[in-house]
Amino acid sequence: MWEKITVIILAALQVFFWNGVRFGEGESEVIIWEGTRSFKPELGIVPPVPRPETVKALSLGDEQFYFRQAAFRLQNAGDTFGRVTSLKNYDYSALYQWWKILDSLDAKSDFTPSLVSYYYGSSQDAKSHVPYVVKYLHEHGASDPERKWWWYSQAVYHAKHRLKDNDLALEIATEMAQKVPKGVAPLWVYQMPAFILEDKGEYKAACDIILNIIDTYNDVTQGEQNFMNHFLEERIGALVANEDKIDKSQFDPRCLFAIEKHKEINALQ
Amino acid sequence: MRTTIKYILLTALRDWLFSGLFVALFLAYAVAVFLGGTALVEGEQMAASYIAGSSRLLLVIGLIVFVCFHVRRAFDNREIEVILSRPVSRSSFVIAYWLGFAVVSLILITVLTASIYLFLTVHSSSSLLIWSFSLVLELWLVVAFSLFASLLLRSAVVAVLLSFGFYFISRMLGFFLFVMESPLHQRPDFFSVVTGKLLEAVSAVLPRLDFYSKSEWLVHGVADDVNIMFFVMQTVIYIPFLLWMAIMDFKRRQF
Repeated sequence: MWEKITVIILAALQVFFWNGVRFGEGESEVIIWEGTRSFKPELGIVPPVPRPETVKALSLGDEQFYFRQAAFRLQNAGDTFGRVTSLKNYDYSALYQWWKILDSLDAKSDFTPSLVSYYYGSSQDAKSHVPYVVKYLHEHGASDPERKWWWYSQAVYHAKHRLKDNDLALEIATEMAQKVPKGVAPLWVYQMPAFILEDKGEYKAACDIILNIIDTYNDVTQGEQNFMNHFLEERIGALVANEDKIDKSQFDPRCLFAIEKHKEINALQ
Repeated sequence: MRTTIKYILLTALRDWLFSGLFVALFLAYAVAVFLGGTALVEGEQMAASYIAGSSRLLLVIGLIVFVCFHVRRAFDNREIEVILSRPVSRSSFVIAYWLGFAVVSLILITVLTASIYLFLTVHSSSSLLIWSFSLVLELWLVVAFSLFASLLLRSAVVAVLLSFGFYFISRMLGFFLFVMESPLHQRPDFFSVVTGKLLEAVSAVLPRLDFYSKSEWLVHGVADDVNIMFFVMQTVIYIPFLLWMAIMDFKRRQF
């Protein structure tokens, strides 16, 4: 008899422990016990950033295995347990530290820059968040320009089109054109500063870069030659269209010749 | 010796070691392929890395538990006394036991390697072979330690815990060296000095298991021959050392 009563009392206590004990409502409510049902796990968006020592300890000597786990975790951060979190709510400063940790574990992999450029780069709050994206992609590209030139160009893309910062884009594009060894990347990688200079209205500098590419890169495929011709025609067309605004005194004679030829062809058509 | 090896294989079958570990490996494989399929890019590399890391842990845990409980039960059932009643020296008994467990490890890894080769894309066949070879040596070393611990200790549970401790500390030795050289731990206070010396002593005595079976090899290939020599030399030194200690202890045991 007493055994059954004891079991019932303990079960009732467990229910009170879970539910809480409170009397009254509103301001006159008296809480004796809060109840465990109201305590839920806190699901953060970006996981806490570990220290380098912690990463070493947790990887147990297999850093690639830890890298893949952490990368997967970061890919799904904020979108677990049925949640969907808008990118504007992420802490990009913490995300940047995560990206750097992932790079320290595996700098060869393209997983992290892909995640940064194609996913985290689309934040709605471009002004606050995209500088982290550009900084990371720039550093990642600079770490190995020969193999990682694509991520360099992605840094230029995000700086130019997402941040609308032509100066920063030009700075990265110029660095990229200098650092990426000749012949390992398509010609547009070396032409990128010219695109940006033209957008900035600096036609002389754009023209010089194109002429430099023509002088330097003789061994190009037919496809790339077609692209260069198309590019030059477009650029020269833009120069002709803005002729009255441009000071041509500093232009290379070959560029001036191309402008005159373009005008003649247009007149004939 | 051949009879003892055959006996170990039979007991592995009797204890459902093969079926249990194969089911666990199959599940790990399925989860790895599923998770790899959800990756934004490099899904194949992610699956290969997951299967490499998780299968290594499964095999190590499975074999430690099997070796420790098997040896303990053999003592309790007096099976060891029966084996020793035949004209078998104690040293050949220990070596035959280790060889039996080594064959069990080899069978498990052969199946795992074949399944990775057939169904996953890895950097190259040679990197898969080096990874498998390294995993074989790592398991042989772990099996040697588990055998030594279970012959030395009277409790299978303690032997299992000691073997886990050995494995995880040996895997973390790279981290210990990293910490010892960190400026944060260069302080002159008593605690830092003592822990520093302790970690130094541990890293000198235990093998560097963090040189073994890195899943990076399956993804990016093996960078140079130095990696291979590290784990090969470590195995050549440490397995005879463990077996020698096990033989020394077993020779002194009274039945």
